Amino acid sequence: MKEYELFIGPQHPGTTGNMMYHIWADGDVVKKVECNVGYLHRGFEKLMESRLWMQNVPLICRICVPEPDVNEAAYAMAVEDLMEWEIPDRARYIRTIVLELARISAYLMAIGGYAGSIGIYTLPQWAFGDRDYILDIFEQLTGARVYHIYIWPGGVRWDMPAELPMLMEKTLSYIEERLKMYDDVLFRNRIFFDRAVGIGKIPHGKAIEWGVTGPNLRACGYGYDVRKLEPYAAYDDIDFDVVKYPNFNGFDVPSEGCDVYSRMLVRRIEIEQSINIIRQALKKMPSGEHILKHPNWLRWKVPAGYSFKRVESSKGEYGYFVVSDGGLKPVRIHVRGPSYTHGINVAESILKEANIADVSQILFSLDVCAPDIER
Amino acid sequence: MSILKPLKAWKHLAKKPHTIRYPYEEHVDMEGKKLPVDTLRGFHTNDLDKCIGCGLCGKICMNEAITYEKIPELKEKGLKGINIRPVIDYGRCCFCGLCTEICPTKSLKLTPNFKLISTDKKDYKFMPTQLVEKNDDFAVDLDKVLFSPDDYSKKFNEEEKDNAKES
Ligand code: SF4
Ligand code: SF4
Repeated sequence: MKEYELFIGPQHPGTTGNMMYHIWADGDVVKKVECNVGYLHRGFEKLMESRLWMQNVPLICRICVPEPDVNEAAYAMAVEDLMEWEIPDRARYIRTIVLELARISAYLMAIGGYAGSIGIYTLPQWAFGDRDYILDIFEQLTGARVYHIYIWPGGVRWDMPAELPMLMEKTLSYIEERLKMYDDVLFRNRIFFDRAVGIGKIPHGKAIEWGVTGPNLRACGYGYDVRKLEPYAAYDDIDFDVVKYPNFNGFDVPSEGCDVYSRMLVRRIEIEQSINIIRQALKKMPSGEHILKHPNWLRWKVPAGYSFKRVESSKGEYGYFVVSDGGLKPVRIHVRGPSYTHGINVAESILKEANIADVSQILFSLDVCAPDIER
Repeated sequence: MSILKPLKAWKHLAKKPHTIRYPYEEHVDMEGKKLPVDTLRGFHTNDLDKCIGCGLCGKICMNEAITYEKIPELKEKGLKGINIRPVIDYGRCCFCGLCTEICPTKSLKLTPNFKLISTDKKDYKFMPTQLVEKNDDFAVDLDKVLFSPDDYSKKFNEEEKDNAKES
């Protein structure tokens, strides 16, 4: 059969966000892929150069929709580094809780989206519904459901309301309960098993070379997690093990890793890990101040220098490179989004020789987020 | 691995759905607390007598959503400060709350009120006053904005016909 072209995106439920994969296929088999971005460029990095240090805070969270808090945390950490600030202990714990809640909500979205891509439409409805219970917590903690603008340089915006830990505990137990249903419908489902094992493999040894990070790298058997290697917030006081292939406690490990199956299972197990982290953080949380005193925002000068701070997001390693010349505004801010490598280089390579029907499940398993490719 | 386990999902047929018929049904959290909570960042409220017209809120707002308007009556009341008060364009505002944090008199605040439905874009720009705090101010005639599906398709068809006539 003759080779033909196919466009997946920019408006296609099989891609995660407004981006396009231009595919050349022979029959059912993909021969060549070209990733096409540019539908979502909002110029955040340039915009940040023309705003005061504090004015950037409401802007940066908009870079990533499913998990905005990692942006706030990385930016805040970089500014604190330049200011040589040591944030209060309570703020460190609240940040950990917020980041882990955001991780759970992002994973729920990723798992729901993935299940939709292999035709299990029950799970997207459940996952998005359950995610809303986490947004309820965010609403009470931060005053907003999606863009929280809560992690500020120097700490967190408000203290945690006294009754919130109870609601969190209730929601977490509910999600734990629900995960059992998720297992029945997706993770222990024969359909998932047959469709995902051995599909979309990142070739052995290539993962590091290609710059894969986060759950996608852990699915290849590397125990790489920024939370462990370079602990930020309160992660150094918290006891947790990095989830990696093949330590899928209780789940089958039929494949050699690096495939769709292991990538999704790492995410599934990390939800439990996040729940565990939040419980520990709630227990250990000290009392005290939640934020340092800010200088006058309109005349806030950050000392000259540069700082690169990274955090572990649900998609991979997320970093902010901030340069200051000692002025009122940053000189340059560069965002290192994990989807840049996953969505362009990795996806273009591993989609080759894949079946057209598998294209969207491979993309969803990489958890590509178009907004953080383009900023 | 099983092919039968997924069928357990059927038991949800007998359960209450996640979704609520908002705004007819109340939105509550897991513990039954009514949402939105008071800390939700919605429309502003401003105590015009407390505000001193310093203009800081307009300076920090990165969306340039805040402009100022003169209120001559304030001068007559023998007020300190300048007789300008902030006017907020909700087409631009992102409800970040930086303006309320920087306000030296703390007269400007955010309310949990977020409902504003209008077909006229001029309605989205107004001066926040204390009155905004009351939800009734924004109480929308729900029947006017929410059509039943039948009405909706009727209205849609009529508009389609009009469009066809014009073109
Ligand atoms: S609302 Fe506050 S910041 Fe704005 S002009 Fe009035 S006093 Fe100044
Ligand atoms: S809430 Fe934010 S965007 Fe809205 S007027 Fe205040 S500073 Fe401007």
